Amino acid sequence: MQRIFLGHARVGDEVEMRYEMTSELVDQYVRTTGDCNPWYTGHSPFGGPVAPPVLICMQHSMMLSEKFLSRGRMLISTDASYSGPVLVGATIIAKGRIVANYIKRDRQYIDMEAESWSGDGRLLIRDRRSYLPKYSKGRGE
Amino acid sequence: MRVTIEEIDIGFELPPSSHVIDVHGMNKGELVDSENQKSNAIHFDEQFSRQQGFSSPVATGMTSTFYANQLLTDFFGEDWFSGGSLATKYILPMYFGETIICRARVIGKEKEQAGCRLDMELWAEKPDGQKNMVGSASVLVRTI
Repeated sequence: MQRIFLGHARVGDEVEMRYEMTSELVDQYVRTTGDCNPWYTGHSPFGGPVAPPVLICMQHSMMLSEKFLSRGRMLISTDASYSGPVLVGATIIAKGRIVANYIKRDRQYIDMEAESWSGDGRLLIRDRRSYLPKYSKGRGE
Repeated sequence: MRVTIEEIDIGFELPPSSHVIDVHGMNKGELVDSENQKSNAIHFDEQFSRQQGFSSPVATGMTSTFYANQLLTDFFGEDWFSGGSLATKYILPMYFGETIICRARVIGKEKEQAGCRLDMELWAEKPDGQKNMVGSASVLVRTI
């Protein structure tokens, strides 16, 4: 599927991604951040290894990249609420919807609301994130 | 966590955390992959990032959110996974090699049926105090 410039997104556009929260994804996060919480790779109060909640939120941006070009895009804000732990190995279904496309102080903003659900139907995370399709001012690529 | 909920009141500041934004971790095939078409060149392409108005490639917007998550996870433990919320707004670009310090301060404390709700302001700042991220967090504390 040919991806399009995020600035051309329309309110109502939807994206979806199904993936597994693998130990490799968590290891990637640990190597990138230096956050070596033993719960991410070993036993946790929830049983086995658990994913950092913010990693699931980050997958919402990856999901957006399935449909929209990421080149030049900048994340400006996030607002997330976590409903429960995500165990490593869990299947996650993420869904997002463009809810706003507007100009503020000469810059175009695109807002997406997204949710991640477990394979057995539990809501895991809900967030709203705001992007600049490009940092420089005005609409267009 | 080293304190009890009774010891936490409005004005309490969580122990801050300090991080150096690591170009090797962020760019070299980790969360941003220069060989992946879906990766954003603003994080690894010198020329492109300058064309966009930056002095050099910028760290991902989520960088300070990752560090805030670490701060809150380390302090609140399992309570953070089960009912936390985190809002962050990135107000200044962050560049690789920079040091950022994450801080959180309690601004509200309310007893609820299942525990005690703490509301916090949080931010990330450079060593000179200039903020590059502002935000808020909330957690229902049950286990401390």
